Amino acid sequence: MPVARRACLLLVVLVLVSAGCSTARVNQFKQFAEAGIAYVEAVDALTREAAGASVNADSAILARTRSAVPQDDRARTVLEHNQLLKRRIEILADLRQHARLLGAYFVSLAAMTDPGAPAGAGRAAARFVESLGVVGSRLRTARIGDLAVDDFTGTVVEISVAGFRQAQLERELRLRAPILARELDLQHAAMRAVVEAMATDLGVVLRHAEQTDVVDPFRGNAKLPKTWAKRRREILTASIAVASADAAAVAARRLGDAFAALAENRFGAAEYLAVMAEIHRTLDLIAAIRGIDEGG
Amino acid sequence: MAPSTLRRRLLSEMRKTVLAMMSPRWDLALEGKTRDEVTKAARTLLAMQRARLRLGNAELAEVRDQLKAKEQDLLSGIEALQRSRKKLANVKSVLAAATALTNIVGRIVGLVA
Repeated sequence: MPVARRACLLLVVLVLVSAGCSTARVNQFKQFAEAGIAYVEAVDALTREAAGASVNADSAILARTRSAVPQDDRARTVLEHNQLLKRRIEILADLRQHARLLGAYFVSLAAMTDPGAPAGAGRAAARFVESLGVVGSRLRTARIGDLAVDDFTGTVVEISVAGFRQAQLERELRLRAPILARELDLQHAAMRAVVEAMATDLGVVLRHAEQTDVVDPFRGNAKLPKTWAKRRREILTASIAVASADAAAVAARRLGDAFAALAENRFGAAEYLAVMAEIHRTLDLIAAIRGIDEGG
Repeated sequence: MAPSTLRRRLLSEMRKTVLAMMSPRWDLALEGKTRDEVTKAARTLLAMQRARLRLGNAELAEVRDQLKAKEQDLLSGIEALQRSRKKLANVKSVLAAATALTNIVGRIVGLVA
């Protein structure tokens, strides 16, 4: 085989290998960004439910203790609790707002991995090369083996775009790695604090519901409400769901682990699925909380 | 013990106590107690709830403040990514990277011809 032909084949192989590596690496960024976006959406819903659960729990406690508070002290008591709850709701809203900013980062990262835009850029680049006369007529009509150079040039430009895209992502990773690692650590701390408080709040709401909707009617002599058995089942089932309250905190930790894997170029399906599994658990919990509210 | 660790331990105990004092079993246990005892139990539960809200708010606010302090870094990251994406869509910037490979093709064609 002539030297030139061997060189051509080697170039084609190099180009294909380069394209394959670049695509796989860019996919890692894409999947990480997708997991991040899903996490942020779950955080948004969870912090809203956490705010609602804190008010419901406090209302349950106030209702339970009302008779023990002297009448002239009741207004002061409820206003003091309202003030504390408003503060809680504000903080949760701040966390939600911050999560949206993190979400915007993940969306920007995902946009960088979008194959649509670079492909268009690649085609445009090929046209630009041609219009400038960079690729002369001799080169356009020449062939390398079975490949027309004109087509091949377009492919080379596409691959260059992919390489450029990967280089930009790697640069971003290099620059922002410590910041993002710290951010995800703090997300874990925030979610841990949110879900621990929420688990207690939900527990309080369910215990109160168990007392008022299940135990009290059963102890009394009046006929049981028609919905008694259904409500009892709802409360007991929801109690099991509350055991999953830690899911959002675990999701944040898994996202941190996924980021470490991305930085070390070992991010794969396992890391992606680990984050998504916890996000699904969080969404199941949110559905269960909404079920408690609707049933009550 | 660090203040944050102490706060977490306190919160953990308060949460368990509030849950226990809201349970139907606790209600049952209060039956037959004097009115003073029942009132005292209710006031303890209220005080515990307020303390839990205050400590919980402090814990959440602390993390929130740390996250807020990092927002500028996150914004810089978003802007950097947007700049990169614009570069990617900009044909001229792509061309610089593409030219090197195109030149190689040109040289090889020169060898073949």
